[in-house]
Amino acid sequence: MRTDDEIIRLCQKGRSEGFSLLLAAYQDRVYRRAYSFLRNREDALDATQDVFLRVVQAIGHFRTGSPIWPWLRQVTTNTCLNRIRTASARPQTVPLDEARDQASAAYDPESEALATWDREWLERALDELPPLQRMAVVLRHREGLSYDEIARTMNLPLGTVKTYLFRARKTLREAMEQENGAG
Amino acid sequence: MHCVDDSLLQMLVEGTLDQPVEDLVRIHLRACPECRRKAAGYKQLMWDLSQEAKKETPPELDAMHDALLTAWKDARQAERQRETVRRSLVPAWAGYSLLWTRHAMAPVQSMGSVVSKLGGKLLEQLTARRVSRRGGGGRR
Ligand SMILES: [Zn+2]
Repeated sequence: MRTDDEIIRLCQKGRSEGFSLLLAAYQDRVYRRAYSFLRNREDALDATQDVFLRVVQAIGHFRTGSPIWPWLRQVTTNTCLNRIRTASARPQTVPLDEARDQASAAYDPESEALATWDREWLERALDELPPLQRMAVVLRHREGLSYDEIARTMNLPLGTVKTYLFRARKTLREAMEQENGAG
Repeated sequence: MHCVDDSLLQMLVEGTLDQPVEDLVRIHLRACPECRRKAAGYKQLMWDLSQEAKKETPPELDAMHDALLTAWKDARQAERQRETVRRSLVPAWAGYSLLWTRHAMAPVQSMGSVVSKLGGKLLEQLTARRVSRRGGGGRR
């Protein structure tokens, strides 16, 4: 396993194996993070590709000695924010709703009556959250960022970030209780 | 007694409350099973949220790895070409600019004297015409 510094140095020398190592070390992680933001396989794949195409252009400016992940996380967050904003600027949200209806139609609550305490309820509840609230939750609880760091990463006022987090977690807790009550 | 707001319960679980506030919230919790239940819910929720879902990554990522590597090679290739062009251009450009400066200085000076003889009026007109022509060109 190469260190971040070794990978960056190879990349900055223009060596392909450096970039290949970077992909091997971080492609899955970027995909997972993009997926947790966007909750859609195709969108997450597109976003992953966009992130690394940006890296191809920008790697020369990266400062060696800094860890790669915070930078990649920022590029991933920006890329996904752009996609979320473009999607919400589109007047038509019908395809998303349709997909959701189909998903809930395919879901049979009876068959899962005993599985209420596994992750599934949480995954479904996360699907339903407004995208920016979900992004704040992911940055807080999977990335462990502070409220301030989330505000900087998402380029939002601190108050907005707090509101997003409080609302999202209240929604999720209530969803969890409903799920437990039903099961 | 009023129940505490959900945001305070969340912050209690996260450990982000100031001590005096935390003390007040804890006093309330001792007396209120409903808020204790909510706080326990947030504790469970935050633990669950911190766990990454163990999902398979899609097989497309392998093909993407190869495509991105090609994009990388193309970008570096283009960079090397630009670098070569730049290196071969720099001396030529430097020579040209030197030549240009030496030859251009004389006409500029003589024009300056003509302008000063005719007065600022002509210069203003010339400039105005050039600006309007440029504006027209820009609109096309
Ligand atoms: Zn209470």
